Amino acid sequence: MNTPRVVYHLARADFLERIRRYSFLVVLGVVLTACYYVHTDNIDIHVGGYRGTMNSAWMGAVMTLIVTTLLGMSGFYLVNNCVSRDEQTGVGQILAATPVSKLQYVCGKALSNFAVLSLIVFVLMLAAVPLQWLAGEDRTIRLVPLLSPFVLFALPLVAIISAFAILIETVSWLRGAVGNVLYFILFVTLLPLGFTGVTPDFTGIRFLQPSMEQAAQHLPNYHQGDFGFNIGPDHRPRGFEWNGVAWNATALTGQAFWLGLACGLCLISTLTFNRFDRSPSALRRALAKRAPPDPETATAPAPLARAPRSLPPVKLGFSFLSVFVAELKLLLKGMPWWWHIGALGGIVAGFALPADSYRQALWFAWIWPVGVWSQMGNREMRFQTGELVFSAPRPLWRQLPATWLAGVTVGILAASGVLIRMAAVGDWTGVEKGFAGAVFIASLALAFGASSGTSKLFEGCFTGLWYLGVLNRVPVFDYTQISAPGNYTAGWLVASGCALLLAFTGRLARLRR
Amino acid sequence: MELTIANLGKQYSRSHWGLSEFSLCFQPGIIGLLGPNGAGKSTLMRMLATVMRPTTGTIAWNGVDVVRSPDALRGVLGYLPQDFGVYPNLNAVEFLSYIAAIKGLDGASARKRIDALLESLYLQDARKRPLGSYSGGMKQRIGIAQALLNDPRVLIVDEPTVGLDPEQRIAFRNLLTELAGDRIVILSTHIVSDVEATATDLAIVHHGRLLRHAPPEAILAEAAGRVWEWTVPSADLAAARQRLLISNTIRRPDGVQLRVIADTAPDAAARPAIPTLEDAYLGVIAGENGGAAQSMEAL
Repeated sequence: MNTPRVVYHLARADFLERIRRYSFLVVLGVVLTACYYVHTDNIDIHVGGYRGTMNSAWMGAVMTLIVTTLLGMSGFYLVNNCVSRDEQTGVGQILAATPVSKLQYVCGKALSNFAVLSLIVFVLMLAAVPLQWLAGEDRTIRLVPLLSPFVLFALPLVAIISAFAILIETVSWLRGAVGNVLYFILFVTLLPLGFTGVTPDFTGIRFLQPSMEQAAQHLPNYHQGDFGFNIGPDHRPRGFEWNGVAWNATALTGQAFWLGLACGLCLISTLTFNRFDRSPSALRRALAKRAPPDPETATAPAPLARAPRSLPPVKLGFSFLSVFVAELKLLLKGMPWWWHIGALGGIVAGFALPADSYRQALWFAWIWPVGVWSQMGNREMRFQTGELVFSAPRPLWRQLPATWLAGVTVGILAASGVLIRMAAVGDWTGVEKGFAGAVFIASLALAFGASSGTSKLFEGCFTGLWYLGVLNRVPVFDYTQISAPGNYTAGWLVASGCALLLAFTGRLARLRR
Repeated sequence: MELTIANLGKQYSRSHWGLSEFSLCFQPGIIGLLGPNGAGKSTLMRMLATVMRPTTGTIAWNGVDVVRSPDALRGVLGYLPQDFGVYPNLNAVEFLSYIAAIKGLDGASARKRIDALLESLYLQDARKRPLGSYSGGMKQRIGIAQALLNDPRVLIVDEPTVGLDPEQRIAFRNLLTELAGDRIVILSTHIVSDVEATATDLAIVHHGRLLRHAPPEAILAEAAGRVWEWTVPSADLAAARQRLLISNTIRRPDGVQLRVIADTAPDAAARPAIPTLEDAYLGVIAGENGGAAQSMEAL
């Protein structure tokens, strides 16, 4: 087989399928909007209390840093579904029966990911020219300083994201919520470490910083060490002319490292990719109990049905409790054994931690079930059960509230160690905050799941909320209210109400199609 | 007991209607919806099952507007969609209990009914296995079980024999015949033999429109005197396919026996044959296509 041709067609089909999706346009729109604000000086780099003149080099550098930051954060979520989609649509079974090798498949998919993200970078490269002209500070367009940061910083990062997304998808236990959360944690950990030089910097800012500082340090009142991104109307005075950096072999080698790492990740993915073979691994087969023989194959083919008239009659008698229990079972049944152990660990931590820190157990207890909550509201789309569920009576008022209550219950169960301990010491405000947190999480999950039809929106936003609110203790985002000095329960309940409204509206729209 | 649709239409895009000006009255018995792939059968089934809203027209269950009040029909509805999924981590009992709960069935009677359905559908031995490990035929039987859970007055089954082996297809037809009695059973298929033996009425759908609605005997009568058989040398088969509407071919020692639909004898050697429902169906569809010769396979 002609390998380049196979890889090209694998990538092309996947690329075309994905750029016609709504989510692609959303990410492109967000990145374009952010870059638009560069020329209005609302997003900028400040150096020693100043900013540079908006010439080609400056525009190229600032826009590239925006692209690397935004695509670094959201690009993974845009592309990390190509293997699972092949599995869900059955295309994977067709491909697995062809002579396409694992390496060809992985390379084709990685190339498709790269092409999708590169298209966004390319659109921004084109947009950089009119934006520099619109800024009006220096209308001389110099293509090399303007475009080279995109090519040398954004494209290697895109390659890494593309390959990492494939790796996550080919490791079965990393697929879905676990992989999504892992990526987010890796990203928010490596971004600041890269800025400070502890780990390699994938944004390019450390490479550009010395040159920019050198250009600005002659200015009056120059603040040594003041270097970073500025977002918002806090405009810094335009103070210096920066004409870009001289690219040298060391710099280029540094960027080549990222491309090499991307290739390495692709090679590892060929080892972890199971070629759509759903049978358990050899280890799991050995550990599994001997299964009873398949009744369909162990005996002679059975007729389809017999004696339908002997079926007992049924009585109507709707029970919300039955639907709630069934929904709770559905949420928890698919989780692996190690997940249940982890959840139990979160509960135990609430009991076991010292009195001054036991509330911190919520840090873990309310991120661990993210994969459970993210099923809410979109499970019917994911498993194609919508036509069965939505043709039952009153789907909006019976099934959706039961799903929500099951989600709240998961939150309360996960935090039960902390909540019981709070109740035991008479901290009823804490208990109230805890219940409000559980209500908010379930409402948000249902809203995002029912309105988007996928689990990703919740996984991405909720992880971001957890990072800002719980880990970084920004009170307005802290749904656990551990760090909040006051009681914002009412606020979180209002937010929950809005989310529930969105959930019901989303489901209603789906029912009325 | 009556399910009536009047001037029903579904528009998918500015220029594409999946179904248009469709009117029909369903009464107890089995009505077979026949039509080629893409004819609009599934669109009609989804609208009848209240999971899709029509663009135009009305659906009424015993006089109640189902588009405005879908729950009027949902309570008595059993629906087996053409493509449906299951929750792979649940077993058969858990899945059916879930569907029973959201259909509003009493817990104790639902449990008995689930046991009986699993026994009837030969799934008793697999009742505790996760549905993710089921074969295609077993999943289809779970689909049938969930459709029968609430002892429905209206049973809508869309291409139900897909995934079933020939023996199971026959058994499914028998099951529908047994169930029909005082229910409305709407069976959509593009396989004529699925409805030949069971349907009390047939509706032939093509390009989103209703071409015929009549008992099978009436549709068969339309084809009387229009079906011909004779044998041609194998070498002439390709040419015959170009100019004739062939419903079947049988290989013979002296050539290929053709079964052709035509208003007059297409060949001096052709002799009249007794029409089957497949011939009649092909004749109706070909008539809609302007009499263009088209093989059965192409439909």
